[in-house]
Amino acid sequence: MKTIIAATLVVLAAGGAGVAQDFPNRPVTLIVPYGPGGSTDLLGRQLANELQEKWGQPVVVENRPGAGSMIGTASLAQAEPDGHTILINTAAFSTAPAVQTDLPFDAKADISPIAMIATSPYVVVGGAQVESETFAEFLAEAQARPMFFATAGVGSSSHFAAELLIQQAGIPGDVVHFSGGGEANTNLMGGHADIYISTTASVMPYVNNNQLKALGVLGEERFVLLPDFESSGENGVRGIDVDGWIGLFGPGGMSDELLDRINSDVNEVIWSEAFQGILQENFVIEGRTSAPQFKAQVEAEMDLWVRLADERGITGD
Amino acid sequence: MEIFANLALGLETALSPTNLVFCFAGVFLGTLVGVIPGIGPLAAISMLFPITFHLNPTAALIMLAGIWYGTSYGGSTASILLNIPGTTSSAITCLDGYPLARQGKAGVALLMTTVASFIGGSIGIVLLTLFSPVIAAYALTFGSAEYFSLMLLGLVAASSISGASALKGLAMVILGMLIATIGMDSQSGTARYTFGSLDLLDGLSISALAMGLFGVGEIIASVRRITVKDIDRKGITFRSMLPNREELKRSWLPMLRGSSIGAFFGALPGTGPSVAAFMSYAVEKRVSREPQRFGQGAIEGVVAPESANNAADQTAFIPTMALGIPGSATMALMLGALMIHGISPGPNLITDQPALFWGLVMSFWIGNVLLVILNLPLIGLWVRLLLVPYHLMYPAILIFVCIGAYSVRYVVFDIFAVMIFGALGYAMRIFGWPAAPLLLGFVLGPLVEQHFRRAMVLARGDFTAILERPISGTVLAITALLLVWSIWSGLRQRNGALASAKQS
Amino acid sequence: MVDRDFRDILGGGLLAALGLAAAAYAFMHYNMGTITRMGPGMIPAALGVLMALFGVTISISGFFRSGRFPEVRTLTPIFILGSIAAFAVLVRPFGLIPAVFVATIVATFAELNFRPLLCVILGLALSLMAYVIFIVGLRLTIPPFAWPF
Repeated sequence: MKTIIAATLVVLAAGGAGVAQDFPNRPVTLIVPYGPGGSTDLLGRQLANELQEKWGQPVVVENRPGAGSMIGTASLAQAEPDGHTILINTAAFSTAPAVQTDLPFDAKADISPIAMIATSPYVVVGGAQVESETFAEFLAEAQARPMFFATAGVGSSSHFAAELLIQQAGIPGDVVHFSGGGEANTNLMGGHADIYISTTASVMPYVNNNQLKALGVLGEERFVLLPDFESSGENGVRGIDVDGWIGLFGPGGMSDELLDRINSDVNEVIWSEAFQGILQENFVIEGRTSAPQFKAQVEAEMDLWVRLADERGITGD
Repeated sequence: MEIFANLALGLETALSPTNLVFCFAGVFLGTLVGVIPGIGPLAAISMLFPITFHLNPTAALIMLAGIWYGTSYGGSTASILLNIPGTTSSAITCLDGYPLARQGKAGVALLMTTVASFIGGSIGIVLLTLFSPVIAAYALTFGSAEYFSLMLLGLVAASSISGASALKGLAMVILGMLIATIGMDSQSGTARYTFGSLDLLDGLSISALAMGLFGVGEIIASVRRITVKDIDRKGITFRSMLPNREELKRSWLPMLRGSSIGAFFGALPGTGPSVAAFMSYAVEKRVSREPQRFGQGAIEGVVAPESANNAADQTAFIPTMALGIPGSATMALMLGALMIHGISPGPNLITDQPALFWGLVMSFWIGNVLLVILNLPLIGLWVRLLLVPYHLMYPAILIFVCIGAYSVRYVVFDIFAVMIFGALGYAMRIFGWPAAPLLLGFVLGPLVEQHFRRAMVLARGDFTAILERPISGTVLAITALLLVWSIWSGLRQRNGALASAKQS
Repeated sequence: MVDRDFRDILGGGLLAALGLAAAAYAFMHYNMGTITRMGPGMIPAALGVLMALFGVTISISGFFRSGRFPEVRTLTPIFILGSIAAFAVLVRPFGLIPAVFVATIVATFAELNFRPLLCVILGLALSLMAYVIFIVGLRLTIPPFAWPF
């Protein structure tokens, strides 16, 4: 609130949008479009700490949860594109607009992707009712017995990953929407649903505790941090080339030099010891993309999800 | 005995000076935010969450947990004195607590809620200590079919929660459920009844609803009517706070029942103190021989929900700590406080971090004792608040309600929501529509809908599959029996009700 | 005519109208889905129809009963609700203190007994209290003062 008013004042005084050289000249707001305490929030808070040290200006985390991250994202779209308001989000940024067609902003024009912070493939985990131990066994079991694919909610990345696998592997399956990843994991443990496909950060704690079993990862190759998990590609399932990620975004219309500036700062701070510790805990690797590369990837994914939503009849109404 | 060794370790951890200080800070802050309407435990814990970066995880968790169960002690205070729920879990306490206060029995009500809170909390801690892993495993067997049946049972059991006719009660449950459908549908992503507003996408907040219906509605009806003389000045001597023999006799069974109900719903992920409090009130009214006393200042209607919400506060830690599954947003924050310190939650937490887990459990005892010590002398202070003339009091209440509504997520729309619900609350008084069933429908409605639709997907559209599951089948059978019994007893009492309606 | 419960006749009618409107809107705008996979419109439509039925029953029962319509206040609700609206409108552009002050003044009008001095003193006292409790004590990030221009 205060920062928004201050932002307006500073912009008026400067007579135009912020310039990369004097960025940041006042406190920066980092919007987390999820409630506090989750894995994205924790990563965001660590990033805020690192950037604050680097920039010499306070970086304040603001949780704006709701509507599958779209409430926080909508508030970013309304901010000044001077880099003083930024947002951390997951691949939900690219999946949610495919379902929520009446968003008050254009996800491509009104948001600038800045940097990919971290990435990991989607992990396929099985619940109490699943007998398979490997990806190949899972494909056979799913053919024989139509399974329920749990999601963290309509339009979440776990929803689209499940739809994509069902389509590309040609297996029968029904998606069941739960309220968040926690509930999806619980229902797998209780045997109420069978499969959940989500990021490493969401499922690995339960896999490591032997509460859920990992059946494999989505993608052509195995994942460096989890070399024991079979990939979908090596089991003959083609056309799945999406990874989960966590990225940094700004409002639409940010200048190229400002985007590059923040991108290179992010790519620098993610190598700090504390940050690497968090990445390892979540089984993710750092992003290493330039702003234009990240933008191209996000937009390609958006197109993919819109196409998939169309083909699989996923609509918001 | 391993458990004694664990408890000793826990006590040692909890009694360390640092942890004691943070335990006290937590329960003190909890009581404070509990008394202030609008700001609930989630808001308070979110605000303090960043501090936990700089604390050791045990101290951080002890403090956050103290806020969590401390709010339930404080929450009943505003409910009883001002008819404004301090927290949503004590909304139901308004129904009988406020009439008690108006009868000059505010002191008794506050004392008994403190006792009830302590008993509920204690039973919750005992269950947490002895049965965490067992209960947690059992909670996992609850799927959507079971949740659906339980929530339906709750709605039917509570349809006569208020004194008004069952017909109006049911109509208000449905109105509450309809209001709850506003926002994004969890099963399809469709925005329902939002008319393009982004503020409505996440639905209306329960605190805005509760504060508007109870608080603002009450103010509109009371301005220029209530004078200080209404309150017996004797009500603030310590002697007058002590409950009489009759009140004690009426209270102990409801406290035990409330604690059991609370412990059960607290341990189930997705439900929590609010649902527990509503359910226990409904049960008390059902089992009471004089249900007509409820809503007129029945002490049972105060102690049962207050013991239930405190028991639920403690047992909510069972799935959180024993399985690493947070049952609510607040519990997710607790886990978050652990995760930033590199402790991964899960079934191994209790064995890997015995000092943390048992220290936390023992800190609950200390916290609950501290809360009793903290709250007893304050009762006189709170009751004195009633002596402030109402024409000075109600603007202050309005300001607190406005700031409380705004502070949840800093959205101006939420303040307007309080205003709209205040208008609705006043209209409902005019038409004689009871507010409590509406609030209950609002809380349970989304759970009923979501679990019903999900259960139908999982049953592949075959409703008999839901009936064939042992738990959900049994609960649905009880629900059907209860429905038939209410209609039958309603018809039997109809003549009497008609006669009394003529007199009013 | 006097000997009817107009409170329930009118109230039930309102509920019925509201229920029908909600159900109709759901039918027109939302997908009903199937029994297996219910759409977003199914439950609201069912609730709307159910509420309309209850409303009609309440309304009809009112015709067979005598009753008295309760007193309806007009000015008091307007000032109380107006006070909340004033807070909502002012808090963002002008900050917490001006919003508290104006909301307090408007709220005191509900007494229908205007006492200017008391009104101002109460406004100042509550502003101070709000500042101490919420900004100093609870550290809410609402600016105490702001200027929109």
